[in-house]
Amino acid sequence: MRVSYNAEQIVEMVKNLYRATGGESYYDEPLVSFASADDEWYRKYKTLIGPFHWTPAEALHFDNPEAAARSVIVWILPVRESIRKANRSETRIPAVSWAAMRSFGELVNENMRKQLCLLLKKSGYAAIAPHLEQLRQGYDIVKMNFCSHWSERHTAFVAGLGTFGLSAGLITEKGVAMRVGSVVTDLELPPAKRPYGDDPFAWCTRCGACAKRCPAHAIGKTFEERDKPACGAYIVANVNPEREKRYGWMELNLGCGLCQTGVPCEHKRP
Amino acid sequence: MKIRFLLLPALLLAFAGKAEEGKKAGTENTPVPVTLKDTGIRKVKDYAGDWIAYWMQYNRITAKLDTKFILTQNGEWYVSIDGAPPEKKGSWRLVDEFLLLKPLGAADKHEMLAKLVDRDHFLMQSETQPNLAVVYRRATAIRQGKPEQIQGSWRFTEQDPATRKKRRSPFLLNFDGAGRYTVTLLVSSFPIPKGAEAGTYTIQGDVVILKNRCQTPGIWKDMKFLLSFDNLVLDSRRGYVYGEKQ
Repeated sequence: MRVSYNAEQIVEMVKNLYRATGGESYYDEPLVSFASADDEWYRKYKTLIGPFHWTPAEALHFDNPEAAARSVIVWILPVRESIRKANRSETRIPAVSWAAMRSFGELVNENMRKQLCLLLKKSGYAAIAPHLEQLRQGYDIVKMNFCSHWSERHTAFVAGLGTFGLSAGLITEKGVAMRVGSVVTDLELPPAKRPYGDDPFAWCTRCGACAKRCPAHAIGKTFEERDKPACGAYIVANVNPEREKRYGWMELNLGCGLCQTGVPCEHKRP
Repeated sequence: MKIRFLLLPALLLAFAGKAEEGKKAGTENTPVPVTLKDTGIRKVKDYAGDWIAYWMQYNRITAKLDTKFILTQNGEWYVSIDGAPPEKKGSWRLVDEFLLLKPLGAADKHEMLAKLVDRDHFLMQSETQPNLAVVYRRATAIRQGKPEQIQGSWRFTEQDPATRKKRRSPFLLNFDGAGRYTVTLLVSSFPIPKGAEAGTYTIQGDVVILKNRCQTPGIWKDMKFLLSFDNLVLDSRRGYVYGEKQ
């Protein structure tokens, strides 16, 4: 028999997981919101991102073909000040603490997604973390032009958590230095009203600070000029070679994040 | 310059009056029929106005074109080329995340599709050469550049847009605050055409225009740069060259 949950209980669940998984080492307390699984934007993403981008219904289908997707639970994990401060002073490659957040902080995020799914399933609901599912299935990011089957930032936009900047980062109330997680479920939760309406760039002032910070010259004056391959290539050529000597761990993404720190939208909406 | 606009390869429009289910995705390079539905979230008043064309290759804006679109509130579309009086070209409307332009006398199915990029840009992509596009920038979003933005010495990097390989210029361009420029050679044997070593510059909107006595045909004779945040971008439809202040 299903346990019924309301929105506040789900928010508390997510916050509890943030603490239990060690999230406090990397992040401040999460912002949590909900999107309707039927939101029009998921249909639009099939055109704007690509037909390979899943709707919530398609994602949930992998867990339970009989279940009807109703809600997407989305959270923002704002990066802690000490980590942002360390990265602010970098101009070429990320600070060690930033890279650690990107590597091990993302494992926290993965655990939050996984555990939330397990809790919901134990309570009788269907639940899937689309990002974990796409990792499980594997995908060729280069062939997909540096896109994927599920964009956490795009779902955060749908859930009213933020809008895009020139760097393609999501500017939230807690800024652009953050990570996103989400779970699709057949539990019905009230979708948030987007405070910015339907303008995907409402909170970007186009100041260009991120473009100036980018060592890869991968950010331009329009969103279209965001050069993801150049960004990726820069990390491969300049950050990854420092893996053993500077960072001290293998595998896991080290990131860069220079465009997310030392900018007006670093930790707040500008 | 007359510009041709072709449909985005990934879209075949079906305006049946209401939304229909899209078909399953094909492979990355084959067109996939997608039905657009007007959700009514985009308002004509938000996109009416004057729009200036820029050339984009491999996702880099590299040239300002002589073309201006004028989109009126009542759905009329005018084009002005090279400052000439606007000519009516047809009509325009918004559907979902797209702006559609219908030339005079054309059938609905021949509407041209432009993708809304953000509130100040929309884009029309070549179907036969998907790495080429024309980006339209809202005229009121174009900021007037200031001499202090470019005052100083600049070194340039040429990036092959396809291979992304870079090479740096063997010279610097130096701009003073009084409208003059000079060239400093970093490699003494690098040939600068006679008359191009020094000259003047003016800033018109977001374009820096160099004037000199060079008579040799080529980029040094009519050199222009686009101002792009901290960079100068050589105004050219071939290649991508950007400058960084030293």
